[in-house]
Amino acid sequence: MNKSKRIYGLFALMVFIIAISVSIDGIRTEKHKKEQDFVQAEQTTTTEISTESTTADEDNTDDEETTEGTTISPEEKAKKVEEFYTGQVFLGDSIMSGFSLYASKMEAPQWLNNIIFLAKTSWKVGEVLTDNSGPLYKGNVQNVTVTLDEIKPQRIFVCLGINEMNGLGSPGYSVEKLVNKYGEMIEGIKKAAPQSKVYVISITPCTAEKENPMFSNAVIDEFNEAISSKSSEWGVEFVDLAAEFGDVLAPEYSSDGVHHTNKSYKEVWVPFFEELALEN
Amino acid sequence: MKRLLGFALAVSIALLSTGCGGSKEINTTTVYDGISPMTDAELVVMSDNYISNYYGIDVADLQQYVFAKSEDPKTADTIIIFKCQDKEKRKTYITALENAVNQKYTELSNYDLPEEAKLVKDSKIVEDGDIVYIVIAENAKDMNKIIKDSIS
Repeated sequence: MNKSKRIYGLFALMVFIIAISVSIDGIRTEKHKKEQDFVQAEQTTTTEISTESTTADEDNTDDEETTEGTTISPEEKAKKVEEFYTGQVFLGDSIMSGFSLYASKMEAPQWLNNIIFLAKTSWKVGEVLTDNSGPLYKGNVQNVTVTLDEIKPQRIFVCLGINEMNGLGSPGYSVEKLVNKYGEMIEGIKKAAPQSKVYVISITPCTAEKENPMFSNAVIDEFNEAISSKSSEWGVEFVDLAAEFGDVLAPEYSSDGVHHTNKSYKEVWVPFFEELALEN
Repeated sequence: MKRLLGFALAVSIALLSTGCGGSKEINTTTVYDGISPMTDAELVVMSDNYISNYYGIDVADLQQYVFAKSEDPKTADTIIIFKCQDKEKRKTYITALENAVNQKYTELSNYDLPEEAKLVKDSKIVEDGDIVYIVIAENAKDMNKIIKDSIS
């Protein structure tokens, strides 16, 4: 009697366990089905949105007319700019360092992130060729001519000279002397990278508040005009970034009267260099 | 039964040994989010291209990483934390960091920014197992402690 009771008891327990398992499995299946339905619904929505965006993009093709009169789509424009700058070198001081850091920001365009920046805070024209602890490249400290020989870029953009502006009014210093040094620097760069086209970028002005008898926008202008007039003799292309800022640097574009803010890099530098790429 | 217990014990010891002397863990994103507000500077997280061109570090060699520095080149603030299990590469990358720190010190000294230069001089590259970190900031001591405590 006890034995048959035990058997019935065990049988009932098994039935109970099976029933519970089936219920749980049913709940899981239902939950899984709901999840799948949700994912499918999400995917459908996403597809619909992307289709709409594509259609919207197609409808609103923002083609631009180039200087040659031909039209260029935003995609072609972005591709051309990216090809122009990828793997090319921007060489400079702390103002260029600021641009290199801006390049890492999420809002910066991809082409900017593809540039190789060789920038060193406090760097001077007169130091470039002799400085054996030039801008860090691939973790190595070396002369910039060695680095340029390693990279072999097609294009080198140079923006230097601001750190020698302060003091040009002092006896023994002159714009002419600085321009001569600049010429020697260009010669050294071209020797190290004979395959590269060199672009010299004008020095950007300072704010009105920053001007003093030893550091003025008049001297900066004089220097820019001098390197511009020497550019064909040096075999380089002069790039007048300074002209984009006018006679003085607007306070909103500067953190301290000389260095540039992200607003400046975003609103002036980036469009300027994009335009330069499209013109070349 | 005894054999089974012996095997389980050996596996446990092996696992414990790995935990003690081998790979260490850190969540760089969480740690960075926690300590970055402790600096006065606006930090920018460096892109992979920047990390490669400047430090020569291939991020594919890193299991975890964050490289951030002040967007103002005249300030020294820097937070770098990475995990690199490859011992040889880790050594090379530490040398690159040392070069970068030395150069930053020279730059800020030449620029007549002695307070910023001092922050760089006082900084220290720490290697804790396969995790490497450096903080350059006024609160570096506190931030380093948080990083150290976050490594398990």
